[in-house]
Amino acid sequence: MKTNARAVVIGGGAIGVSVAYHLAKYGWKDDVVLLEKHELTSGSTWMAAGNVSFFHGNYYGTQVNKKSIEIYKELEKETGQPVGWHTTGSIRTADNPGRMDELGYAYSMNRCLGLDVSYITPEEIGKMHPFIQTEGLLGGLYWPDDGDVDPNSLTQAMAKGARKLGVEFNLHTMVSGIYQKSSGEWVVETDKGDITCEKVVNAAGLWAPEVARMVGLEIPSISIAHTHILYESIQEIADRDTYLPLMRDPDKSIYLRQEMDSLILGLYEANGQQWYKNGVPWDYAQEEINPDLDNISDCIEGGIERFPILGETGFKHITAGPITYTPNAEPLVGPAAPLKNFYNACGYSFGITQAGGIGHYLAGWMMNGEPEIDLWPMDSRRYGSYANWAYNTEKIADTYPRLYSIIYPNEFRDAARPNRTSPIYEYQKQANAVFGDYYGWECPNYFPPKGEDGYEDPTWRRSNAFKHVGAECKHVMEKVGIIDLTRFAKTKISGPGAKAWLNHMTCQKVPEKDGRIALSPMLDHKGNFKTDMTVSRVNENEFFCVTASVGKKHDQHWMLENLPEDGSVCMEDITYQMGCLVLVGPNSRDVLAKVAYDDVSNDVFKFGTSREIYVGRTKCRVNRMNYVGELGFEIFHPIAHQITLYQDLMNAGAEFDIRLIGMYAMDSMRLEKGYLAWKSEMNVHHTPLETNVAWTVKMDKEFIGKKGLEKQKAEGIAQKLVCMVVDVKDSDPFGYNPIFAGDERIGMTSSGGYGHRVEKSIAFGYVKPEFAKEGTQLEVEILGRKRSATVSAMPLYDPKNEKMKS
Amino acid sequence: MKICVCVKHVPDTAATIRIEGDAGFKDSEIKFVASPYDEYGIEEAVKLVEKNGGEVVIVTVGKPGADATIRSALAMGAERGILVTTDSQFLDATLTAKALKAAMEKDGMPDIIFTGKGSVDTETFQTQYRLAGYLGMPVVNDVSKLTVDGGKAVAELEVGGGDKQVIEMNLPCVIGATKGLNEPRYPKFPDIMKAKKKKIEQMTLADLGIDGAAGAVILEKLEPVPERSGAKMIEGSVEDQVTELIRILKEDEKVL
Amino acid sequence: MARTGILIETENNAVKDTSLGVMTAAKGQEIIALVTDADPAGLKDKLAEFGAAKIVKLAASGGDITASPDLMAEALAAAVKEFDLTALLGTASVAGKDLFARLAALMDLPLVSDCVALDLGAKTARKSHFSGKTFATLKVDATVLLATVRPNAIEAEPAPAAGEIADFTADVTDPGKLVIKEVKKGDAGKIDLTEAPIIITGGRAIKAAENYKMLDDCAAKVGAAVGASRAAVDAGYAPHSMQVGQTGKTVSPKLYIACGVSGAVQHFAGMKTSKVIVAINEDKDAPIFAKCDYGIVGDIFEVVPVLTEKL
Repeated sequence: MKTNARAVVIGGGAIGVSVAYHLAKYGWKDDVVLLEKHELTSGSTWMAAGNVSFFHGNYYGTQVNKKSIEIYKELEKETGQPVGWHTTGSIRTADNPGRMDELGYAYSMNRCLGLDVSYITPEEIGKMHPFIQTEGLLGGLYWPDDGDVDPNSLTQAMAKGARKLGVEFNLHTMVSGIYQKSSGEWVVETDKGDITCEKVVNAAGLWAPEVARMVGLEIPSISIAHTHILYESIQEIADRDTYLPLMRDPDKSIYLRQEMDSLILGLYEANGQQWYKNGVPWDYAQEEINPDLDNISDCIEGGIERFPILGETGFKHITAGPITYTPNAEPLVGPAAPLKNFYNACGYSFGITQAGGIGHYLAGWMMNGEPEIDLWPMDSRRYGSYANWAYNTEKIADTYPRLYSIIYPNEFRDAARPNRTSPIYEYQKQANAVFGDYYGWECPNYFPPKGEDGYEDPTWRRSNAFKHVGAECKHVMEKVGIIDLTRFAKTKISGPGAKAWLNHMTCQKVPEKDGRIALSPMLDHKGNFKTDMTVSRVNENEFFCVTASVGKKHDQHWMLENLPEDGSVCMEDITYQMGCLVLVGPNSRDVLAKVAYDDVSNDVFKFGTSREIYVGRTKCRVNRMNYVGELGFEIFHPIAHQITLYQDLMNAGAEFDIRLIGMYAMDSMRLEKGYLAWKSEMNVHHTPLETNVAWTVKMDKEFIGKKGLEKQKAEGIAQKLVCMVVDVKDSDPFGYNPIFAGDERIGMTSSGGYGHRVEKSIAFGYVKPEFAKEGTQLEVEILGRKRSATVSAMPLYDPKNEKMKS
Repeated sequence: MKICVCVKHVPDTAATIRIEGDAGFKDSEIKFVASPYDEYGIEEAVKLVEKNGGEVVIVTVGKPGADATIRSALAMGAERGILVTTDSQFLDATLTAKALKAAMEKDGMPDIIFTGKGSVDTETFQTQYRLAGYLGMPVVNDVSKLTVDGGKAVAELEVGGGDKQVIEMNLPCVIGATKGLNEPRYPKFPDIMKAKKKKIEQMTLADLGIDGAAGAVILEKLEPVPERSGAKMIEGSVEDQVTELIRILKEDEKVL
Repeated sequence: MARTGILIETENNAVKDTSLGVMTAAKGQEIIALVTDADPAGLKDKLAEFGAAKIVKLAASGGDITASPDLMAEALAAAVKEFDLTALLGTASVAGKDLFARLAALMDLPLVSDCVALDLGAKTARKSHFSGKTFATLKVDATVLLATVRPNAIEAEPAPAAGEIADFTADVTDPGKLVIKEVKKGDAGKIDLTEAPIIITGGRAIKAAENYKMLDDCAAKVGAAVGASRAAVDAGYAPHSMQVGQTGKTVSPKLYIACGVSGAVQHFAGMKTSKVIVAINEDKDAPIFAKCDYGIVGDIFEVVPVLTEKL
């Protein structure tokens, strides 16, 4: 076995083999080593059903699937080893309007990628699948290019390709420890010797949590027994000369596909059995689990209702085997924070569908430093430390049975909640808050009046929250409110090198004066958005930086990776010491003045500045800025003082009718103000030059991403962010809606919603620059229907910022 | 016609056997099935009853979880089950046969008893003979063809070297089934649901007056068989490779 | 010295090699070789060489013992008493397993079937449990130890002894429970996969259904059965009935020759208890080479015809 390599991949399932194959293929060749403690495929790959389809709940996942299909079709040519690919097409059915909307979302999102997808009627479904009972179906979507693959052959083919390129495969090789040397190199210890390497990939599947533990990480992945049933041969299928399409009836929580001259029925039952909650034994390999028929019988009955032949056909074999699940069933991929050069590629419950694609994208990410597409939905840094074993256990029990449930954009499931709460959580509850969970934090989405239903109906359209959110927005516009943003990620950057380093990290100029605030995008090496932060200068050597809560791990990881090694910059995470209450609305200054010991008048405390003041007895750092576009103050405070501060503000605000305001209102108002959101507008596909924050780019200094921006400036931008007003009655745009000019697809929305202050449905989107002119008539496709949209001035609300500056 | 089928609850052939203690294995997390040869017996019994009327009773001696295996036999069409429970993972064949006999005597004697030709766990290949001996019945094993007519059974069985014998015997008798006797049916879902409602009577060895500790064959030690660790590669021209291979297989391995 | 009986199996009036191994298992004991179906005089040299103190031609007053397994069991039981045996051993062949099980039931004595090792002094035996995944050591508490020994498991070693010939006709009759109506000679052509002593399997590299003829020809030479991997079955080259592996058949032959089989875990689940596994594969990195006994890197279309020719 080699003792040195560029990259070591731990795990010989479809995922690990694909990552190794792609690393080798893109140039690292024989500098890649794969370690597998047993045989290839012996964790979960062996029991996979092998379905490969375009459908995925999110846009980027869909792209990974698409890439897989491209790769699988070419693999035999490249490696000489067939992968058992059959193009069968697939159909996803709907038996209720909510599901039809979900299909509409998928349809429109798929069209952003130019995929071949079409609506089909129950009659057409019946013609394509002779065994289906279509009663009760409203329709479906059909993807002609979907198919299935033999998971074992696929893995062997990629392994063959990898070996040809020089990858060293060490089977029956057990990793016993992993550590990082002071040089930054990793050492992977095995029973066959140690390997020193630059990068490590944890593709250990069922054992990924154990491998993560070797480097001090706790990752949210648990194994669950998944069951599929192979039926005995069916003559009518043997007699056919074409393949039956893969059928997914999510409303019955089943899938059905042809296997040889028979069928495989897969199910996501109501009580998924967690398997070895505390860790899968190291010696487990390719072994079936006792199927629990009582548990799956409801799903089987559902299958028989939809496909009556299943009731007349014997079970040839019931396969139950372990697959990994994460709290939201998306995998864990990419750089593992806070480590350097350690990557995850695990947590997969649909590994065959994505193995090819994720191998391609992760290899590129590892080799180039940036992913080719934004992989945030599967980035392992989307989970913070709240996503521990217990959280995961509770969450997965809820996620697995609902794997085929409709994933409504406004649905916040109850499982494993609450986790993190602001100290004023009980006050929020008393104020009738309807909560959502964001990065483990309970945050009020909105506050219906007392006596109204404290539950939001899940829907793809405007919900019962709509009018309450409208009331909150109007309240902020006319009076004063408090928004709890305690969950904000807060980082203190200090030291003699702090200023210079921050100037290197962002395209914005770091404030030259104490108490100044700068909106500071951080870019990747190509000039695309990494993240965006608000930097307040405390003094020459200390800066208070605020970033979005959900991106905390991602953003701080980026900072940590780039921190100078000479110790001149100190980075301190103060997220859990400091809370934030945003006091906002025309009366906010009046309220603050009543309780502050300091002068907060407009002359002294100007817009865009930051001050340390006493609000009551609480010493706070207050930024005079906000995300909703009214006069307002972001009051950062020691978290232990929060209740006192809250009571002080509420008492002072009583005469102004002060009230709590939720996240939905904030999001509505930020759309009206043209404020960008992280991972919606600001992602790895766009630079600031394409947006309305181009003004933050200061080309007269050096910073990460400058070269990319210079190049873009020279070539001209290919896309431009626009704000559109969309003509809809009840289904506002949300993002990943294709934008059309006539029949030509010219862009995609990044986010959207309803602006209650301007009373318009708003979409942000990137379009070809020639369509960015104000007044351009376009169409935005929402839930499968094209809606007319007009490019409008950005922002729609208070374009001169008079309210904020008042 | 009453037929009893003796079914053993055994780890799936693909299951990993993890040794526990000196002479036990971890049986809580692995998949158990009906010993594959027993399925031929179940199928034959069900077919006979479908043709002649009567009932098929599954009789199992095993740990309490063995009822799941009985259910799978009931899903294939057996009427009801009897589970004689024991705490032992390896009950001596003599005691197993005594327990089967006692359970059958209690339930009423069958016209035919089916077993598999052997179980795939302990591979003792004798329980059916002992049962027949205790009951004074004729017994044949490895039966791949069977006709039952007018109080007589005619069985075809392999006697070695590919030779087969056709043997006639009177009922009641004990038949050890093997592959070829039939194609065991795959249970359909409605059959599985019906099986859930069928009766399984449970009793302990002690209830039948049997001392589970009285076995004369005691498992002292269970050891894993190591996996192969890589092939000896035979080099050279095709001629040389083949010549060397044949030599090895003939001389070293003595398998040719 | 303790006295052990060995039931000798013969073929064409010669002692089968497997029986000699069984005799070796009783090394150090006074061995009584029990012959039922051949003239002991013709076997004397061989049996004496491998340790038979006495060679007994066993018969029954009640009829031809070779014609009835129950009568044979009765005669053996009588022989145990007559010669005061403390152990009686035989081969774990189809007939041997059947006969010893009958005898054990008749005498109500414990039996260890299909042993790979025996210690007659300690009365312990070693045998496979769980399809070759484990070995069990069994302790037998009995006045007379009955056991059958797996063919070829114990290497025969010469241990010359007197080989004195005797006759014993047991005074027993057939209980008459079984009537043998017909004996069918084996069809040498088709050999069942699961029972075959040798199996030759074709994997995906076989490339076409008609190419299995190449394996059939080779198999015919050595009385082997022909199998297929799942990949080959999926590709339509072979019927599912030929599939060896997880979704096909589980086999355990003496010799398993895998031709163009990549060696998926799923395949091994069906054949890893084979005594000797040989792999022929063009791909030197094929996983099968990691888990078999002998490997040849080469094109099966070149290697197999040569193998057929030389066998």
